[in-house]
Amino acid sequence: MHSVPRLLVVLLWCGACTQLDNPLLNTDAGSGGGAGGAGGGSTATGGGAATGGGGGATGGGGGGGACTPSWTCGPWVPANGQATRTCLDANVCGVATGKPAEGPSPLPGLDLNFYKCRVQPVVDLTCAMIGCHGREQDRPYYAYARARLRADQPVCGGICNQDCGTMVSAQVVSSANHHCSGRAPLTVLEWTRNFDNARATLVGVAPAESELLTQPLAGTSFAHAGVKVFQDTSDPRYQTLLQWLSGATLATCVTNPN
Amino acid sequence: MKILISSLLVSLPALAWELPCNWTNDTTTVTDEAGGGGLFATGGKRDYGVKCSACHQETLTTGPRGMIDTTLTFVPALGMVGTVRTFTPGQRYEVTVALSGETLGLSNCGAAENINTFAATVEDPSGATAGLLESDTGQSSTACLTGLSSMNCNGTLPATGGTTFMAGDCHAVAGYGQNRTTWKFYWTPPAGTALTDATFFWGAVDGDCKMNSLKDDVKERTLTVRRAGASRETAPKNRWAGLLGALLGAGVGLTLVSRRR
Repeated sequence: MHSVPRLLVVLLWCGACTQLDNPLLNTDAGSGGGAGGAGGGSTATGGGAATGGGGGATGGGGGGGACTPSWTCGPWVPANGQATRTCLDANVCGVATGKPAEGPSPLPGLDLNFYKCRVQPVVDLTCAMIGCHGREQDRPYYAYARARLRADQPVCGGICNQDCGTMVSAQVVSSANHHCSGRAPLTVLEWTRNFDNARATLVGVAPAESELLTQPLAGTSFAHAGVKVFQDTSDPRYQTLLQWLSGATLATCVTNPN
Repeated sequence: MKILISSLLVSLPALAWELPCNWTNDTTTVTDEAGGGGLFATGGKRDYGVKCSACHQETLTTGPRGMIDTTLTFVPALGMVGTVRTFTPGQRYEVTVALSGETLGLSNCGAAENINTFAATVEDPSGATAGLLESDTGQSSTACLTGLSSMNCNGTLPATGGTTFMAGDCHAVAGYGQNRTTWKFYWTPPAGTALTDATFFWGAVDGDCKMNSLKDDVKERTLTVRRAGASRETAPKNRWAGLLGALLGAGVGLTLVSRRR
């Protein structure tokens, strides 16, 4: 059974794509804490097993009547097939009562082919702009895309990769560039990170609760103020992402042949 | 030498997108390009609220952001009731977009491709195109360039001599050509009373010759206009647009500047 975060986590923050200086930590103060009898009797709403069964961002708990933890969790960060996050107690009670799960939690076993051929085009079109989720810095969720953000990997340094005398960062020479190396197909590393970043939004929540869906559907929240990708849940792009998050698969996916 | 040859083979545009197909090419699967996928980034609902600055970045601290401005000039001039600009149903307006304050791409652009551009749309409150939008090269919001792909747009380019084009799903008009700071398009609100308020969403980019969308200058604006004689005379959302427009009105048409989004 999944717990429902009481407030949307600022995970897919876009901020109209231009506000670059906002903090990205979730600010959801846990409200699940009770009045706190002796020993702290209340249960966390967002707590879950360490394996990721119920990792909501909210949490709270009793604290002996004097101090009630107020948990704030960062986004799930994928690495090596798992996801972890950090939850901090704003009240610094010094107890772990009601602390939400921090992982490591296994990343959901979603389908890479479906992601490549169905999900990535949606991400490319509506999310991966350099000023939005095409940024590694200060973006809990980001995506590499052709002609937009490229990974920091060595590529030939000349124009259109003609000069291999010098290797330079693809991120430097190719990002935001729809010519030459900027339009080269995504690398294995880029596909892996995109895939993991997207499926990390499903840790501990039901598919429809993934912020890959909730943020662009809301469109008016702080996280996505001014950018509303899905008018409603009948939007074909919404349905595509929902299918993937719900386990849809593709037998094959042939991406850009270049 | 190899670098030089490569430089000659690939032009050195001062991006924004330099060709119509750049806006419409598929974002992922097309062979030659990674384009906008039909997103024109006007800031309107049809563009999901995405604006030019979603891609034209890194100007907040290192670039000349805010040096440029843009205005829309309507001929015939829009009316005015109080502080609200008004349109006449069925009237075909010639709209000139003017970019001022350009500082980038004026030199060192190699093949002289100083490419600035703009993209605009006009929507009713639901996000649908309000009336008829037309480029000055023969496309409209009901019939525009389609099937563009590949680096050279398959040779399907707007007519020479024009300044704007429409492509893809035809919801926006955008600039075309080099060294431009003015562009022209047409807008005809529907006859009758079906449309009360229409909002123009537009943005302009001053490109910098660097072959990417970084460190360009950007300006984004909106303007809401109301049907003349509409019963509600309260100001539309951006009520200061009309007042500013009145203060800045000049020339044959009436120059309008709305507040920045």
